[in-house]
Amino acid sequence: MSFSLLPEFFAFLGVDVFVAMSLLTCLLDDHFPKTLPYVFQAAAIGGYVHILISKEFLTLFGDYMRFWYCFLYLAVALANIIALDVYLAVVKKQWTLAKVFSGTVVFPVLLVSAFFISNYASQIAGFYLFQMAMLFSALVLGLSISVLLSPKIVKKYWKRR
Amino acid sequence: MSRVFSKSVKMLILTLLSFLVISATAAVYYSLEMTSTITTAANDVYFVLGPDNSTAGVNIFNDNKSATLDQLSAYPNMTMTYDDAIRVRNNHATTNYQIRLRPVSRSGNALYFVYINFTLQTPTKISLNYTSNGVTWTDASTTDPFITVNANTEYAIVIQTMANATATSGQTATIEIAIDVEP
Repeated sequence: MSFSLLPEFFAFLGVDVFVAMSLLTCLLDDHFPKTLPYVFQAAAIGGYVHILISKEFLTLFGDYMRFWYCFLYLAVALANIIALDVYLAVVKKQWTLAKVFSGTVVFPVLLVSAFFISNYASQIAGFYLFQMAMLFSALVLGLSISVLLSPKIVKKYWKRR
Repeated sequence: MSRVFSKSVKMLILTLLSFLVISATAAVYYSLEMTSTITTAANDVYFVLGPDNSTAGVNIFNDNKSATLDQLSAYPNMTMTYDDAIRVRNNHATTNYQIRLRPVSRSGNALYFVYINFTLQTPTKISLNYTSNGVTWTDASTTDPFITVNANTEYAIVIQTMANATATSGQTATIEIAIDVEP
């Protein structure tokens, strides 16, 4: 059986992002407004309702419409995660934390979302180029991170040569 | 201390709520996937004419999905065999299917017939046998197992008939059978 994504997967991904943001902002509550975790939790529940409505009106909404309203929800979730990073950097002036946040949360989430969007695009229109580029960039990113985190590996490598 | 405690409680509540929301969303998504993966497709298994089709009066229609055989004869006390009037074809290039013959309906007076049998000539033969004792019909079993039809292969349906020794000419029996296909 072939695995295929439904448009609602993006809403599901959006719910996950909101939930993760809710827990993160709760953990880092010294840096964010106190009500923010609950706002994100409410947004996640909104996503659940969103998928529920989509299910009930499945025959009424076409694939095209389903994709766009689910993608919009994911886009809002991603915009929020970027906004959190900007908030840390600009409003709180915590550059180091903002950099760590962007590297550990924002960028991986964007990468994962882009991967699934490209996967969906390839499934609908057979558009594989973006997926290949994503795979390559993820590989480069993974190698760069491991080298950056332990530069001794590179030194050892060069010494051996 | 109380701040740490309140943060822990807050975190616990949010974590539980998160589990709830994600589980509920995943359940809805899963049910959505179950309801929307059913798609229509062209059938790979269908009827084709056999070399003896004109003798049996085979007419295939509805894009090869239905067929009638309206010139089959049954002779008194003699087995009449139609070896290759109609065939079942699996037209898929690579996929094997599971199929079976299923009786749908039967009409005709049992007084005039002995048997009417349909046998699909797959390596493991499957048959639908309608037999009469001169009073009542014994219809074919509906619980036959599925058997494999190989990709890109045709199998003949052999039809055998026999009328009662005392049967008069012009008596008819009509039998409708179906072929069930499983992936």
